[in-house]
Amino acid sequence: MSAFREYAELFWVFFRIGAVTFGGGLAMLPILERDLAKSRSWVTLDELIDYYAIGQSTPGIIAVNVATFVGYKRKGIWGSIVTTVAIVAPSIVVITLLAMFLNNFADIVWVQKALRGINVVVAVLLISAVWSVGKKTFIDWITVAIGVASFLAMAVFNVSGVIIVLAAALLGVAIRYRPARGGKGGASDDESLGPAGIEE
Amino acid sequence: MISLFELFWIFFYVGAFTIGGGLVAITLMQQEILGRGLITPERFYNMVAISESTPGPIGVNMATYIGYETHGVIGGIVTTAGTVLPSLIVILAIAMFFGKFQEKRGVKAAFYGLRAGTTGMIAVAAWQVLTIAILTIPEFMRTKRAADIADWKCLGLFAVTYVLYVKFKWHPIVFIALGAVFGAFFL
Repeated sequence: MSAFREYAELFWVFFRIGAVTFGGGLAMLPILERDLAKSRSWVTLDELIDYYAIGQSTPGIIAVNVATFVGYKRKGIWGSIVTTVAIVAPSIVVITLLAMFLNNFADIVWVQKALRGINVVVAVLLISAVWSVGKKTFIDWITVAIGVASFLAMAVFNVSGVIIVLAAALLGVAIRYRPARGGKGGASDDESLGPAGIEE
Repeated sequence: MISLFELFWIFFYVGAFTIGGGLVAITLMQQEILGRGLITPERFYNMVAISESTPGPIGVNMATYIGYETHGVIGGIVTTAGTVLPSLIVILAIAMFFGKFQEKRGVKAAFYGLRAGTTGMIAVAAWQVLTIAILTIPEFMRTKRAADIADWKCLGLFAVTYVLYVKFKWHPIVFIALGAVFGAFFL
């Protein structure tokens, strides 16, 4: 495939994702999983989860962060610029048109009704995304406990995502990190971690 | 009237300090835009409603809207560019080095916890959409009748969609379109 075709496909995939995502970056996950991991194998589901984890804890809008990440992985810096522009382009077009012609868009009754239907579908998509992500990330009782604790911290106690990300990462290090034995670091870093290691 | 250049930096600031999603961006825009009196509060909240009911990230929708209101089409493009530029820079920097760090023991151990925590946060998003879309808890609290705990038509749509999605694995876009049509006619 020519370079132009590859960039065009990258643009089109992310433009489409930007155009059909209602309800923020997390609601995008089911479509990203389908379009990027299942139909194209551009990234693995594991990588998408990592990008979300990083996107939650770095500046910027999560959806844009994930798009930038995937674009970079596919085609370097130019790829990341293409995907970032592609994911915001539908917003620019739709919002500009609405601002020009339809100021009371959100008050139209059938728009509200259609959005209620969309919300129900998004709930289905997100629940099945939690299911498929959970199968990958909940590998033992400790990870289940971290996941449940994160859910409760955010849903019940309104703890900010940044704090949850930091706490989960620190817990991971505290529970799983074993310094390299005998080696001077470096080379031995890539070995299996032994009995306490993470199988991947 | 505010200059385009100044507007760009306001949104660059919003993009740089939005950590953890669109709602944070709206809070920052509220401080910066309403604080300067660029737009009336009524107009601002109308924009929030529209940004939530149109496709795309809410923070990007808001930025485009405010830019269009103050400077027309060019304004919308400039504010959107300002909002996404900090994340583009930060994520590029991380992506360039991420491959190298990914295999380190410490990073692996951190991601062991991080992935589980992220799953919990995705579950929060699912739970929030579920409560908005299907459950009618305020109504239930008011009437105390078990029948008022959920919107039964939405629950029916939920169940049917779930079964179809799991069984046939059609593309999510198909279901979003079907949900919109069903909602417009039957909800």
